[in-house]
Amino acid sequence: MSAESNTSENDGKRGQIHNVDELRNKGIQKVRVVGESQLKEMAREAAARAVLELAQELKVSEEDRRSLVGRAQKQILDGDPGPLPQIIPHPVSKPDAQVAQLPDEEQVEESPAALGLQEQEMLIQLSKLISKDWRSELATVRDSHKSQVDRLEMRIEELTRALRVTDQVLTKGGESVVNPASKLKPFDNKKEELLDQLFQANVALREISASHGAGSLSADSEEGRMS
Amino acid sequence: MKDNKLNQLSNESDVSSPKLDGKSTAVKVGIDLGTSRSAITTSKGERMVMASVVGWPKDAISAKVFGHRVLVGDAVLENRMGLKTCFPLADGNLAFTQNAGDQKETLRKAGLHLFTALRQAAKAAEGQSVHAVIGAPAEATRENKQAIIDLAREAGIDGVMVVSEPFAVAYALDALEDAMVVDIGAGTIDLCRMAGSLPNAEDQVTIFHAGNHVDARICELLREQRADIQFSPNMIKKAKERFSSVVDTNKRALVTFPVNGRPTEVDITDQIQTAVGELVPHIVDGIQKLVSTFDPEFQHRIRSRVIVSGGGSQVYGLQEALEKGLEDLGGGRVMIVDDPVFAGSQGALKLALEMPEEYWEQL
Repeated sequence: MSAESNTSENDGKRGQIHNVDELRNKGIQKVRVVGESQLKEMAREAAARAVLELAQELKVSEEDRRSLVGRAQKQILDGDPGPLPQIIPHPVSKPDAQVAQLPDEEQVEESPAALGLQEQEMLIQLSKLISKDWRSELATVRDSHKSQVDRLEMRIEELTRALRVTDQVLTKGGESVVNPASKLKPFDNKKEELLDQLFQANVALREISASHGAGSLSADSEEGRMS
Repeated sequence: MKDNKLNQLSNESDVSSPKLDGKSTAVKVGIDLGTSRSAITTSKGERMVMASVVGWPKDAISAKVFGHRVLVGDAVLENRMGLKTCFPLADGNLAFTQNAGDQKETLRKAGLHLFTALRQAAKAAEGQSVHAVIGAPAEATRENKQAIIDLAREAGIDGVMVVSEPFAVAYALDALEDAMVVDIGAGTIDLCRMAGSLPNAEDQVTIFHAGNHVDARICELLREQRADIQFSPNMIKKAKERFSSVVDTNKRALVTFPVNGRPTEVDITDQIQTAVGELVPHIVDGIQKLVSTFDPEFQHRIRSRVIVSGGGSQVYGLQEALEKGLEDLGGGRVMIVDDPVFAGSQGALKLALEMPEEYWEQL
């Protein structure tokens, strides 16, 4: 693919391919034209690096890992991947997909490019790792969304309350402001208790202060950690 | 403390309390008394934040230049070359309670000036009472709480209640049950687990490895690695507030420092990241302490609702870093409050407003 290529029907979905002159007219002065072979080469290198990284996570001997990585990278970098046994159908796009049934031993032996059982096992592990990455990625996104929703809900609650009280002030005037604590809310009873406890704690603080006097307070400071 | 700044800040508030008729009702205020900055939110809809620092002119000339006998807040930092400065709070507490002699008196006066400035920020009408709920560190001593009450009253605040700062944040968010609040300040990091009742000593933890410690650590790392650059703690603090991050990002912390008097751009990304990153294990330890001593049946509940507030909550990547730290505890969910600077004072104001009037009268 080059930047001179014309747009195809599907380009609208994937992103547009622009003519170089068109880009320059739009003010983009520096355009790097990448050839198809260069792109393929870059893709191969990226895939080879990915295999290396994923292989680091496999729980196999160093020798097996090297053998697997060497073979996989050779196939990728040679440019002819050859017919690899299909172990998991679309493991990346279907993170929750179960591991597909393995081809039986005879099939494996018959195929000239087929891998040994141990290598197949390693590939299964690789596939699992890829799908696990996807699951954790999805879980992170879900958590992040949920956290955002929680925060927004709290915010909405706060804004609604402020709006309600402000509304009352505007309609009834400052003197008839209803104490926000009297609103019906799930925490109302608990809040009343909390406010009472807080008040009592502060009263106690004052009483102790009055009875002890400033001079003896230092000695009591340890037990003074309060609520 | 400048009026225009105050107005600007008050305009930023989108959750303000109703403005009450000032003649018949006391102005209610919520105050987050911080080591580095103090925030105030009032029932009149005002809110502002000021540096917790007081300055006196060094001599007659500077007194004439400034036109004030005492300056409080950001003006002190801006004019500190001509002032003797004093931070009345240390590690979240009023510093005079931990000192003696002349220094004690100076620190006490500084504290009084700070409260006076906060009271003025409430903009109460002449003769109108001011009732304040003031946030103190989670593990503040009784002596310190009493000192807060005494100074506040001396500064003209008629009714004063002291409350644990993270509790005020929890109250602001209605997170009174099954939650844990982590309030990251300059002097302390306060943690408080909320189980539907007023938290007691066992429910709270104060960590003294906080923002100021991070500043000192960045200074230390810079001195070790770039002995040629000149900087002040205030420059480091500003750089930290702008660039703090616990994850690798493309954004570099490029700060201009003098090198032999010549302004030079220096990359201090690594130093900031190292120093800020050291906070995370302390916070995770604090969370672990509070979770592990909680009812085992409900531990997962508070772990799954960790609310982080305070200026330190703005560290880029903190949410993810804490969640990662919580993985060893069985995982957890961390939320950063929307309004970290005012969450505490907003909660304190809410407490002040919802506190029955008869309680205030008794006080």
